[in-house]
This record gives sequence, C-alpha cells and structure tokens, in this order.
Amino acid sequence: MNESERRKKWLIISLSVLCATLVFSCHDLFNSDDYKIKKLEVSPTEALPLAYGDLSIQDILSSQDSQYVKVYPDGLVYLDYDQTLRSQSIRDLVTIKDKTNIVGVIPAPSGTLPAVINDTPSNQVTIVDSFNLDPEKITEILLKGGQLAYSVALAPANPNFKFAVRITLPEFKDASGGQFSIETTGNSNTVQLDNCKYISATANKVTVIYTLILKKNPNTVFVAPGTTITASVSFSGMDYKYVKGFFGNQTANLNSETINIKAFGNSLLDGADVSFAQPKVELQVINQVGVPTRVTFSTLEARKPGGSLPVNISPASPVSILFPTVMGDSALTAISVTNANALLKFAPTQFFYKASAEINKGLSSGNNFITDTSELKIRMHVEVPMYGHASHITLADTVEIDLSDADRSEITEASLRVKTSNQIPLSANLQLYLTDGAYKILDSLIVPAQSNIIKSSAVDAAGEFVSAGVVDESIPLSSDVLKKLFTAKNIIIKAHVNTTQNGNTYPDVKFKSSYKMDVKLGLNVKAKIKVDL
Amino acid sequence: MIQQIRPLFLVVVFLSGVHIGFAQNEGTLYFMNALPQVNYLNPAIMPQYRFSLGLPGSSVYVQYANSGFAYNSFAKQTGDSTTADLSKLYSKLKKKNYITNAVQADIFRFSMKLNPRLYMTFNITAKEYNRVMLPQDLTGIFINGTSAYVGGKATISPKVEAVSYVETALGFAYKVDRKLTAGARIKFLKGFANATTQRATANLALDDDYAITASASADVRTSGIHNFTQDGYSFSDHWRDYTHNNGFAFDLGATYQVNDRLTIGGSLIDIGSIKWKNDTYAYTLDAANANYTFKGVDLQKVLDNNSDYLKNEGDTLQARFKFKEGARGSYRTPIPGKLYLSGSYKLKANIYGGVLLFAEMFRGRFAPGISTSVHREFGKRFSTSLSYTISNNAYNNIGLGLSLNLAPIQIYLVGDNLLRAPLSVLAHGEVNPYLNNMRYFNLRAGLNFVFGWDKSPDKQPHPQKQL
Repeated sequence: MNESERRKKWLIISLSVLCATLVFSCHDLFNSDDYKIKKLEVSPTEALPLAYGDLSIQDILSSQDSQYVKVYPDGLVYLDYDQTLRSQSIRDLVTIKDKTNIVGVIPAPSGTLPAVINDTPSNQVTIVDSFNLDPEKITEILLKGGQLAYSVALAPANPNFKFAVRITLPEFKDASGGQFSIETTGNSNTVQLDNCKYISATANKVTVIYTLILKKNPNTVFVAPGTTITASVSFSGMDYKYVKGFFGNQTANLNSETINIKAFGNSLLDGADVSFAQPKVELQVINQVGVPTRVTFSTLEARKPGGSLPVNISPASPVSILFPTVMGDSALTAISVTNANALLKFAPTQFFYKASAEINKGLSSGNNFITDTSELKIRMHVEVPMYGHASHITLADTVEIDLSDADRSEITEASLRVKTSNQIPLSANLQLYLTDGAYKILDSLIVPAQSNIIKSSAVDAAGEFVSAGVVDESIPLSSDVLKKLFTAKNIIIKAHVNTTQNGNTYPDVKFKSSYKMDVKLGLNVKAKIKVDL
Repeated sequence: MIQQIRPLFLVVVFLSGVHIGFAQNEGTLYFMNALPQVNYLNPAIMPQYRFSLGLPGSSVYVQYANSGFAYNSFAKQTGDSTTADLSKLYSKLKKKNYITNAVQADIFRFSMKLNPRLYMTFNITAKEYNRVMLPQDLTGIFINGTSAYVGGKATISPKVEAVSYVETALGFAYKVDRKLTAGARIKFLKGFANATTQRATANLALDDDYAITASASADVRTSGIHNFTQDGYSFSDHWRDYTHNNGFAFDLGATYQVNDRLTIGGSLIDIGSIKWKNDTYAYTLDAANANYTFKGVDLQKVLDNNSDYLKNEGDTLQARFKFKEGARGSYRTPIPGKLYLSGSYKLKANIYGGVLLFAEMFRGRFAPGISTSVHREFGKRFSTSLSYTISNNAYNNIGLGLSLNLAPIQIYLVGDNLLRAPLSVLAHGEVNPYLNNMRYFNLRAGLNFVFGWDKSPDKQPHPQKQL
C-alpha cells in the first residue's frame, strides 16, 4: 500500500467515523427548547368599514314617523299628521224611554150569542198616548231593538166564550212595511220590534187600537152582562237605527281626548331652536249628526312632560260647527290653530282637549236626525313643510362597553375615517364621550376641531340646494383617550345638528326628497398583540 | 478555454438575474457518476458500473423546500424564551411562497451496459410530491392588518398541488460518436392520489373608505382522497380502483464532449402527465357568485330598525363563499418536470468542476436554480462531491456527496444542503443553527449492488474516461 492509498484509506475511515458520530449523537445535538415558542407578537393595522348609507331626509325622519312623511309635488318634504277622535257622548242626548201599560178595556157583547160561522170583529177601543220624551220631539224612528209586551184578560171568566183581541199600532210599520198589528187569544206575550218603523205627524204620539174578535163557534154561548176584556201593551228596550224630529236644546259633555304625537316627542327637537317657515295646524270637526251644534273647548292645549301650552284657535271657542242636512252625509268645520309655530317649537308630545257640544242653541223647532253610527269627530291635522331652520338639535345614544379584560396596550393608534357628501342642509358635529358607571364623563374621543363629520350643503336665498358639503378626513383619536376606553363603562354618542349656517345666522332651508347624504365611516386601528402560547 | 466557458457563464448570469432560487432539483448528485442514480437526472449519462441492481431501499430521496421563510424568519430569542415575531416573518416573505416536500423510493432498479455504445436502465420508483403556495398577502392580512391594502388589493388564495404515483421506466443511453451521447427514457405512470388547484383566486380589495370587497373563484380537484372522508370506506376493498389512473412521461438527455476536459449536457426529466379517473372530486367557487362587499353597517337598515339585517348579511356571505363540491369526470395533470443544463470541466486528474443550471416546471411555475460543485474520485473505492447551491431563495446550501464503492456493495449519501449540519455541530455544539436557517434540504441515500467498474477510456462518454 503506497502513501496515496494510505491517505485515501484514512480519509474514508475519518469520514465514516464523522458521519457515524453525527448520526448517533443526534439526540444531544438537537436542542428542542429552541422550538418551544412561548409568545406570539403581531402589530396589525386594521382598516375596518363601520357604516355607510345614502340617506335622504325621509330616511332620517322615518325612523319614528315614516307614516307621517310625505312629499309635495315640488319635492319638498313635509310631515303630515292626522289623528281623528270620535265622541259617543252626543248620541246619548237622544234615547227612547220605555212606555208601559197602555191599557184598553173592551166591553163584551152580553146575552146568548148565536153560533159564529166566521171570525167576526166586534167592539173596539182606541187609546192615544205619548212617548215620554222631553225636550225631544220625535217624528220618525227606525228601531233596531225593543220589545212590545201585551196581555189580555176576560172578566168574569167564561170558557165557552171564544174570542181574540187584535192590537193595532197605527204609528208603527212592521219589518215588511205593513201596518203593525197582532192578534192574541192568550193571556200575555211579547214581540220584538226589530226593524219596525215609527212615523207620526204628531211628535212623540203613540196610538193603540184594541179590537175584540168573536171567534168561529158552532154553538150558542151565554155571556153574562158586564163582561169585559182588559188589554194592555208596554214598550221597552227600544233602540234606534235612526231618529228624526227635533231634539231640543241640549248640552253633551264630550269625553276628554288625548292625541299622542310621536314626531314632536323625539329628541330631534327637544331643546332645539327650531323654526318652520310655513307650518299648518288645524282642528277639523266632522259632524255626522243632523243637528245644529256648538262646541265649546273648555281645555285645548299641547302637552309634554313638565309643561303645557294653550292652543289658540280661529274661530274662537265656542265654535259653531256645520251639520249635514241629509242623513248619511257629514259636514266638516275647519278650526285653524293660530299659534302653530309656537306649538311646534314647544315640541309637544300630546294634544289634549275637553269640550262640550250644545245642540239647537236658541231653536224651538227643526228637522234633526241622528243615527246609531253618527259621530262627532275631531281630527287633528298638522302639516309641517320641512322648510325652516334649526340649531342645537341634539341626538344622543348611550352604548355600554366593557373592555376591562383586554390588554390596554393592545390599541396604540386609531383614527376615524370619514367620507361624506351631503346634499341635505344639515350639519352634524359628532362626539363620543367615555363615561364611568355613574355616567360621569371621563373624556371625549374626538378632537372638537375635527368633530364636524357632516357638513351641510350650501343653499341659495330661497333655501334651495346649491352644492354638497364634503368631508374626506381621517380623524385621529387620541392615544391617551383610547387608553381610557379600557376603564370606561359607557360611550355616549352625541351629535349636535344644525341647518346650514350663514355666519351667525341660520337661513331658512328646504329639505327635498331628492337630497342625499352619502355617508361612509371607517375605523383605522393599530394594535399590538402579544399572545402567550 | 475561457472562450469555451463564456457561453455557460452568460447563461448562469442570465438565470441568476431572472430569478434564481426556487427549484426543487438535485444539484450535487448530477456529477456523481459512480452512482447509478445519476442517470435519473440525465438519461444520457452512463454510470461507471456496467451493471447495478437496486432493491427496495436502494435509493430513498427526501426533499424539503421553502422559498419563503426559515424558522429564524419569525423566531426571536428574548432571554430564555422564544417569541414568534410575525412582522419579521412577513418582511421575509416573497409575493408567492412555495413550501414543497417530496419523497421518492426505488422499489426496484437495475442498469446494465448492453454493449460499448448502449446502456439500459430500468426502474420502478414510488414518488410523492406536495406543494403549497402561500401568498405573502395571505399572511399580510393577519400580520399587518388590512390597512396596508387600502386603495389596493390583497391576493390571498393559496394553491395546493399534491401528486403521488409509481413510475415504471425503461431507458437507454446511446453513444452516438466519441463526443455525443443521447439518452431517453419512457415512463409508465400509475397515479395513486392527486390534489390540484386548477384555478384559485381570492382577493380582498379595500376602497379608500375602507369598504372591503372579497372575490374568489376556485376549481380544486382531487383524486383518490374524497373516499377516505366517507364513513365505512375500506381501502382494502377498493385498492383496485387506484390502478385506473394511468399516465406516461419521458426523459430526454444528451451529453457532448467539447474537448478533452469539457463536457456539457442537458436533459428534460419527467415530461408527461397522468389522467386521473378514480374517485375524482371537485371543489369549486363560481366567480360570478363568490363576491361580496362589506361597507359597514347599512345605516338605512339601522334606521328602519331591521334587526335581522346583520344576520342575513352573514348568511349571505357564508352562502356565497361556500364551496360547491361533487364528483366530476376524469382530468389530467402534469407531473413536476425538470430541466438540467450542465458543464463539467476536468481540473486535475480525478478532480472535476461542474456547473449545473436546473429548473423545475410545474403548474405554471418555472423555478430555476444553480449549483456548482467539485467532484473528486479517490480511485474506485470512494468518491466525493462538494457543492454550493443557490436554490429556494437560500444562499447557504453547501452540499455534500459521499459514495463508498465496496463492490458489489455501494453505499452513498448525497444532498444539496448537508455540510452545514456538521459544521453547525462543530461550531455551536448543536444542529439547531443549521435547522433554524434551513429553507432547502434534500438527501438521497441508499445501497446499490454494483458490478464491473468500467474504466475503458474509449468507451466512456465522459472526459475522464478518455484521459
């Protein structure tokens, strides 16, 4: 073996030993602790969309009052409130009282009476009476309920004497329109008066004709002298579908009524300085009772928690209201509210009235009518064109938060991305207040100088849109304040809203349905996250 | 000589400038002529043994490659503890990061020299290849957040490729003349399982108002995988189904002896495809449906007191991005193809310098790399290679090849990033520094039965045999 071959041999042996050493000592050469990762660090900056919308003034208003928002043909948005209350009280003025015991005594023929081949009318007694009505003078009634009770008694008794009594009411028609008449052989009975009609040229008059009927009898019969048949009728429970006549001079105290108004109760106008250019508020009295009526408002006011404001009307109370001359019609009397602007500014939550209705004031006759469905309705009509100006409108909401478990070093920077293009003449300043559990304000998140996240559109002298207000900003949120997020218990979101401002004044502006507020809000948050694994 | 090397140098510079460092090829093995397996990289290369035989275990190859990051790319030592610094990881990532692992094992192989001009090889080899592409933006969304993408777009769709098959190959190397040797191999492929991303896009776009738009489309296909997710499925009852995925591939190669010292070569390996028929399944997302923009809370809905709105939006999002899955018809996929261009120069007796340009071509990805090596033969008993490889964006790959030729037994070990392991042990007492920086690793090892060391200079295609 020469030197070269010896070197090769040792090289081979050396490499083999090296490889073997590496392989067999691997478990000592590998430190697994290096691969036990105990923490994870990451610092992401997240851009997150928060909210968006292409909103019109209808959208903003309709959150509470969608059914009230309407649009004029020229696109101007207005609020239209109609609320109608009906009063039953005036119907109580006309009721048909019971009329009892209209009695007639019919003398029976005496002696031995021959056989009777066919039923034969005999003696007749007519009783004229009056319904107990005052001051009403009723000439026509269509009944929808009531009973007529009647009885017949023969004295002395004679079982061989076959007879009946026909009771006829000349002022009454039966349900089929025929003369109201009944024949009875028994002692007492009752018939319903539903759909019977009373018509009398003489007001309140009621006539009962009792006619004795000798019934068919093949035998002769002896009737003692002085024998009589006593008959009587009574009216009770009479209710009408309509009544005509003259109802006299009466006064009804109408039920007090409350009209709740949602739109004016929200915080939109609470505490705000609001002026509408052309608001309209009126009361409309719809009268279905054919009686001259005068309504006296003893109380008519707008209310909200903690206060009230009288409603001034024209014509002034008492108000003579129109009445229909044809049954089934109604008459409308408009009463305008003269302090509408003050009312809207007052921002009431309710309208309240207490009133009385006097009929036939100073009249001694007339053709009155009332039906069982007749109502005296009072409708509240408010029409507020969104044309005017406003300032210091405050919208607020409170959101509970609890980040106490979070690592407060997690959020190191944050900014609010605001991109708005606003055609609506409203400007909004937004602020987020952090509070403790007792709602004590700890700090505010947005630098006041940058809180104007929605700029109002520019308008011309007529309040019409000229150009959109644009905001395209990233509003940094103070890192010091962000740290207070972790101790805060609530966030109060508060927005101060004004209409377009011109210097220190707020000109009247119009809110039209086509105006849009394009809002895009985002949040940029830089966080430092450390996770123990 | 300089004149002869210049073209090769220019090619090297060109490829380096384009994009070196993504290939999954073997750089060190190529010049180790003593190993019969060298023929896998160029069918025109005739191994030095006239006959060799490989039984199961004769050649096992493992590979790991990560073009994006090593462990040290995110691990940070602070005192005694290790912290995962994901921001650091993101800064190390490329736009597209490929994590690949591959395994090959010879089941049977033999090669023999039929005559002085013709060499035959035959092998049956099981191969598996898995690759995941992770876009940098996918991690960026989580690590850096969405803010960085405001006004832009994040591409976050990963892509998966996985293929396993058995190849049965018959090849021949033919010495055309004293200078030129050509080789070819035909391969019959039996696919076992496959997952392929035919199409996958997933984007997150952020407007300057932070509105996020997600859009996606995908067509992911699998074969031989879905059945395993079904209750009661028994592979032993259905193994025959896995014999239905057939394919063909070929290798082509040539070497040319420029002069007594310089030999150049080139080869195309694994050019072919497999048609997948068994248990083919598809997971798809339709681009027309899979898109959604989240602009935040819709104030209109809030004002309308629509409390179900956000839940409905969540349901919509889920429905739009739900994969539609179902059985599908057969489909065809290529297998990972490779390209080698080589130059070997005899520096001294038994010492050779080599330069190898290589590339992997698979599913739209062309991944080149470069390796330089010095190869020395210590007689016929022992040969070594030392290489330096730039691959997978890693520049710290010092390769080593050892072949102990104790005919009829040949034991070998060769890899492109091996030597730093013992160096790490020597310098630091542990292998961790090596592992922590490792992005590329391959190793081929085994035992061959070899016979007949062929020293005949006039019958060898390589320059050393002519000296």
